[in-house]
Amino acid sequence: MRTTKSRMSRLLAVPVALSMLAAACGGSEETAETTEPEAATTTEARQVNTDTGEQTTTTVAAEVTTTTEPIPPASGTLRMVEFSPVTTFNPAGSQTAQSAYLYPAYDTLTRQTNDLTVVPALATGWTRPDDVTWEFTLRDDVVFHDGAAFNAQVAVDNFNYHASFQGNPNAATWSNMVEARVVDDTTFQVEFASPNPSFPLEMSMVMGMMISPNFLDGSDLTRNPQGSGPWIWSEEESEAGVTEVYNLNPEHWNPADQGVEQVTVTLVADNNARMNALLTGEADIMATTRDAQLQTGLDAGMMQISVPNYFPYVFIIDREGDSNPALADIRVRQAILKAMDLEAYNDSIHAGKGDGASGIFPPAFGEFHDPALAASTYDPEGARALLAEAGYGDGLTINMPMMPAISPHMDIIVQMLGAVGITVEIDQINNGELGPRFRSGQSALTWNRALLVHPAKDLGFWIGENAPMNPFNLTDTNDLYDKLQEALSSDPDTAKALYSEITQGLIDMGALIPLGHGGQNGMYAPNVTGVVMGLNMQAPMPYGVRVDG
Amino acid sequence: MLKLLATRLMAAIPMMFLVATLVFFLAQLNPVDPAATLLGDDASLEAIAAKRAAMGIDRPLIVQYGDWISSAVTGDLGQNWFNGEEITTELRDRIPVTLSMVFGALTIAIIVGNTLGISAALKAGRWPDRLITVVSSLGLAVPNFWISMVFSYYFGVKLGWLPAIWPTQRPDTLLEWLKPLVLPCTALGISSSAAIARQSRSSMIGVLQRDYIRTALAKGMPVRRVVFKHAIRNAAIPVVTLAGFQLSALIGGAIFIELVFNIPGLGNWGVDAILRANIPVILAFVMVAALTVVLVNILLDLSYAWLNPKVRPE
Repeated sequence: MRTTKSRMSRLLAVPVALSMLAAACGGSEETAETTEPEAATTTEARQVNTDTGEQTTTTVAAEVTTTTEPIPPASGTLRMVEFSPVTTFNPAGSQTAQSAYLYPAYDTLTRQTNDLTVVPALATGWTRPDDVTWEFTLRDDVVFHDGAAFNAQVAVDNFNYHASFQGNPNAATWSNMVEARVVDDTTFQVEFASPNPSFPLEMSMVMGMMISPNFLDGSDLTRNPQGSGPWIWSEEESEAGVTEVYNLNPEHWNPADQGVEQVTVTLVADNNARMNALLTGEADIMATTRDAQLQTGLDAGMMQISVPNYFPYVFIIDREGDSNPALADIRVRQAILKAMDLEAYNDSIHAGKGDGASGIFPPAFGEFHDPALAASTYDPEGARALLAEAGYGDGLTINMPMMPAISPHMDIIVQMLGAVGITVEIDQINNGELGPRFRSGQSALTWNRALLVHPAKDLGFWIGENAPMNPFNLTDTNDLYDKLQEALSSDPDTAKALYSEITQGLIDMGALIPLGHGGQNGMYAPNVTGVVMGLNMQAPMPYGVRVDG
Repeated sequence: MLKLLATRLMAAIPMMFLVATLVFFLAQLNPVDPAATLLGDDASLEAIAAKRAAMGIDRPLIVQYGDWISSAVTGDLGQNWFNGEEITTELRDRIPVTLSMVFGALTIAIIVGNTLGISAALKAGRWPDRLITVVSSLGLAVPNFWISMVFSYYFGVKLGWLPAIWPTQRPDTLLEWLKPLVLPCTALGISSSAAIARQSRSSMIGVLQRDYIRTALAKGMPVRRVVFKHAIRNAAIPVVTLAGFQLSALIGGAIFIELVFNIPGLGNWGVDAILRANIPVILAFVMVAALTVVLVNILLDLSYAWLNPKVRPE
């Protein structure tokens, strides 16, 4: 569930939304007035009510309206402390975890507001001419830091660059792209092999960051960000692995984004040190705040921003029992499901700040959340009975991979399974090896987590003969896969019903074992205003943030 | 003395070469795949393979070693795999920070340790001696990372006397640069102070029982003059040896202290590199640590010769 603890941050949703609307405006003077885009925009948008947690799917038709607001000049320095270091300033080679370092220097095609709505940025609008195609209309006043102009051809070149970039962490999205083509100078289309409903949302993340056309020829962008963002990276003032410094871009198309003159992003890997930085005034925004740290920050008068972030689960991959015959028995798989106490998991892993609801999407995602899927399935007696019925009344041993980063999750799973007579032998692996391990069919079942973006993306990861989570090419999810294809071409209500049906199908067949939901938290000092954090982000964006509040 | 220095420096060259070779091959035993770590869990197997090829780590080990060692002898230590920065640039930025902290801690350790040790020796067997012994035992027993967390919270966050972490904006003045080092240096120096205090006490007690000291005292020379003019120099050799060893220990201890105070030094850098199998950084980190130890040992040898003419080469 999306939580914003303080009343102030709720109130901030209004100016934030306004600033995001202003993000589509033109003008470059500090005293400029904001003007809404003139292009009418139609798109699916996800809207979450921060007070009720309810969410609705709407079709946004951006009316041609003109508002006049004075924009206060940029003032001060925004100091962010980050959990992980930047590995590259190249969006095509960057993981979401490092996006905080890229946002100041790059503009994205779309953006997310504090209520998780997708709104215009470099793209003024987007439509879906057919199921597999998105058409974007672009601003015509954007200039990159190196002076190059932004247009549809540049956007198409960027997409081709992302798709062909060797070692792109987001290759799964780009591998589905068939073609990107220019329609006119400010319009382009991108076509996929299968429908990609979450593409406008993804364009608010690193995948949607536009690189100057002068650097798409294989130039090394590792320590050389070349975007059009509100701030320009300063090589002289930055120190790799320590602090990255960005100074105001006087040519930026939207002065409303530029609440501060300078942005610094400092690596503070230790959780306590990061909190200490915030509490002692060394930082204005603390990214990645652990659930257990939130109260410390709130007690000290700091503000909290949280977004629903991920869906942890156990997935039983080898359902034909090649590596462990017991897993071929649906009763064993369902016993594993019944052994999971989601409330205990939430208390242990999220300090009670997540939720123990079943289903992929938490209640904050009204668009996709299905209360029918949320019911607890915890039934240890039932689990033991099923195991006995399957001939494993004396116990059963299974093998699961564990890397250090997921050991807290695995510890409690081992305990819960142990309580019903299932012994887990741990296959110790290194951080970063979990994905390759299950994709190559070396694990019969595994813990994993899905980022909350869109059901089609998550379900597509599990079902179908060629899904990443189906290395054995099992055919038992083929009917669900057909339903997924049907959902992708259906109206939102039908699609939602189908997504729920598929999810329930996976749970019933003992493939998917839900473990609740976790969020991404950040904290900021009370003088900071305009803080926005979206889905799939580990830190708030700097756009429109002010430190003189 | 110059001949001694030259001999030691010449001997250090093959030693550093051996260290480099050993560390290069030992680093390969790290089971972490840096390409997978770089790309994250969502990366496909093909993307990881492409990244490994781009990084050159799919080549035979001996080829990788040849490339690295031939560049290293020219002063090119390569690039950090995880941020693309030149290793030499990172060393230039980080070495002064860590050395400042380590030498700051060593200075604290020598001053506090010797003061306590000599005081205890002069009051041997009486309550000040016992109190100092208990305190130094505590100093040795309590891990410095715990002390640093306590210091950071109480003196930095709760009382606000000194910075709890390294400034997020680059310090402009020397004072701004030194201020955040006070707590880390103190936390780091505590256990070394305790070790030096114990060594200094026992060494000083031994010297104070020598005939020439008793003679000087019998002739009416003031205690202070006897201690500072005659006893300290003779009691210093084992203390200097210990201080040399402590320097190596302090470099190790700095790793944890840098993490707690977020100090952008070698320790933070090295730990992160080890966790992610960032081999160029691991190699540079170990080489710097090894070089520091070698140089400290050379300095120790020179100091022995200065303190005791009997060990000077002919």
